[in-house]
Amino acid sequence: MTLRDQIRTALSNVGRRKLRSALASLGVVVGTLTIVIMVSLAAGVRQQINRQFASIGLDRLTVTPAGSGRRGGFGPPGIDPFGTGPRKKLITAQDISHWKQLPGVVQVVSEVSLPGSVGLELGWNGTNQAVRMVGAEPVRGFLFQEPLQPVAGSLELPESGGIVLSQGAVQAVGISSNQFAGVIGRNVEAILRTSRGETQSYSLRVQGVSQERSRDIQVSIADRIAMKNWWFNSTNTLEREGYDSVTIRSADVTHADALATQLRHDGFQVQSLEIFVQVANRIVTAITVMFTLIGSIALLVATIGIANTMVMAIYERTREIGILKAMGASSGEIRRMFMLEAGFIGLVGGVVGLLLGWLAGLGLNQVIPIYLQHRELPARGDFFVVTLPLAVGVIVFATFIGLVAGLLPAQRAAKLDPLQALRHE
Amino acid sequence: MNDVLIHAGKLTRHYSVGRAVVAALSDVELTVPTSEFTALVGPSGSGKSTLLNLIGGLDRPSSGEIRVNGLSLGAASEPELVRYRRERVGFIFQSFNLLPTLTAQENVEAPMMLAEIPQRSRRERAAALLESVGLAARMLHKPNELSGGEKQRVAIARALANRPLLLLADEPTGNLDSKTGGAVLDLLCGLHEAQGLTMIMVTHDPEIAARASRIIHLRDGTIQNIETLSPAEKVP
Repeated sequence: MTLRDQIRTALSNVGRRKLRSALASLGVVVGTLTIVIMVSLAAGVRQQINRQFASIGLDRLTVTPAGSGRRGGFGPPGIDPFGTGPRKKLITAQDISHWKQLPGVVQVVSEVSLPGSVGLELGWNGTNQAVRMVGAEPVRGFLFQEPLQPVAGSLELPESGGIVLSQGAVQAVGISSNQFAGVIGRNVEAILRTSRGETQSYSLRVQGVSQERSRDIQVSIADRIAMKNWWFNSTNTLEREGYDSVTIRSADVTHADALATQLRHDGFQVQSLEIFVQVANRIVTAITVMFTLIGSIALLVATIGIANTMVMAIYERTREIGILKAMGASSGEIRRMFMLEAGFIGLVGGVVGLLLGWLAGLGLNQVIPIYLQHRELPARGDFFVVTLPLAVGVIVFATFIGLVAGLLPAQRAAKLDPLQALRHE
Repeated sequence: MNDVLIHAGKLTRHYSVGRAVVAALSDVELTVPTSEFTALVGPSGSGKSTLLNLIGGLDRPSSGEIRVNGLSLGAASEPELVRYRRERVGFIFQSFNLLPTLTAQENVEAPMMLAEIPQRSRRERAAALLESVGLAARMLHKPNELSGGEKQRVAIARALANRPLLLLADEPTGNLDSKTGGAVLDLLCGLHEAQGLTMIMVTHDPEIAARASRIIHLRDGTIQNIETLSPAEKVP
């Protein structure tokens, strides 16, 4: 008997007792449905977590030169509190242009920082006040905060001659918040002062005001290089020491993760909060496994239903089995025929369960955002995500469950003595 | 003058019923030449069905030997026996034993499906066989839509599907009235004569047995006597 004929025979035998086959596969439907809903929820939650982490800056990583004395801490880039130690691996302009071209990289912001001992003042409106220099891409201490937002103008800095002020710095000069817009485009002085009293001032044009409340300024990279050169009385600090830090923003957390690994391998120091993402993903994986186990238990229970149906079918068809054996069917062919029937019941249950789970997910994906919007929670995107491996895996598993359930009954059918089977009424 | 198709020597079959051992067949010696029509007669419990099942490879002997067409059925492996049933033997039962969910044509196709004959040729052959037993118009009917005589004709067509050497019939007219039974018997005898099929038929009806060339009388599991009806067909 060819496999094709066996499959055809099994299919028509299942179709012969539609209601009973449907009831037997109902258990598989429930089990598959449970697995699909739970695992697709876990996949959706994983996406939500990654998206939420991305929105608080976990898609960024900060690269610093190796051996620069900065440990992988949580300090903000832009200031080098320990001065410059000897560096083993410099971040060159070539590195930066290479990183800009990597897939999944959205933005590369290079930083040159001044030593912490530099005295920095903002000269404006006839007053001089001490300010702090922060990097062009403030990551705000890597705490769980949204990135800086402008309150006036933009936070983008040109290559040279630009400055962004914090609202704290602007208010310190006596300008109230409703006049921030008038600040944009004004020229201000940034003044470096050594401990011996020497000063150097740089005229910069205000690009925008950030929401930051402390007295910070951000300055274009070319001017920061000039400041650093003046401070060290040198002309080539950039060539000698490279960039002090580079912030790379990736398209998503997964890319950031891969990039961090790559850059570490290349010999740079990389700080990122990928460990948070890893821990969160590990938790989600554990939950996924738990959910899958619950669904699997439901599927295992379903095997009882299938096995019962098969035992009944074999009892009813004992005489037919005898006829087939008298006509020259082998035990193997009888066994395969019944196992295929059981496998088919599992397959149908799996497909139906998958479809139902997928549809339920689609429906909930429509309903949940409405609820979240109502409660003013900031989550977006799908909560139930049916991935291809989940869809394929669940159908294969359901079929396998059916085959396992059919194993013993089919073995019993195969072992029947043809004469006794023929005498069966 | 004919080759020996079946040879049984000291053929014995015991059944255990509880602790008791019942001898259904003891030390049967039998030789059947090719193309002979043999009738097995005897009261119930005489072992005629047991002998038929042993010849058909549905059962194995407890001791002794049964050899059909060179194959020792007692010693044959399971796959050899399956192949023997499929390709050498056609069974006809008193209760027809058609597969109830299949049409007449599908029933005739079933043994050919087991023999892995391509679907198109088996469909054609099934149609031709049903036509030859006079059922061309009933091919697409299920067994419960057929009369007893029609069912037995389908069963005969099915038995012939894989061109067997040997046709084994266990009271083929037992469930039929005498008129349809007679027609079925005529069909079987016609096949035997036209195709030279070796045929063994279990019956308790002396009239039916009289149409065979040899009658083997069984009683209590042993052969009592063998009648040879046609002088042309002597036992070698």
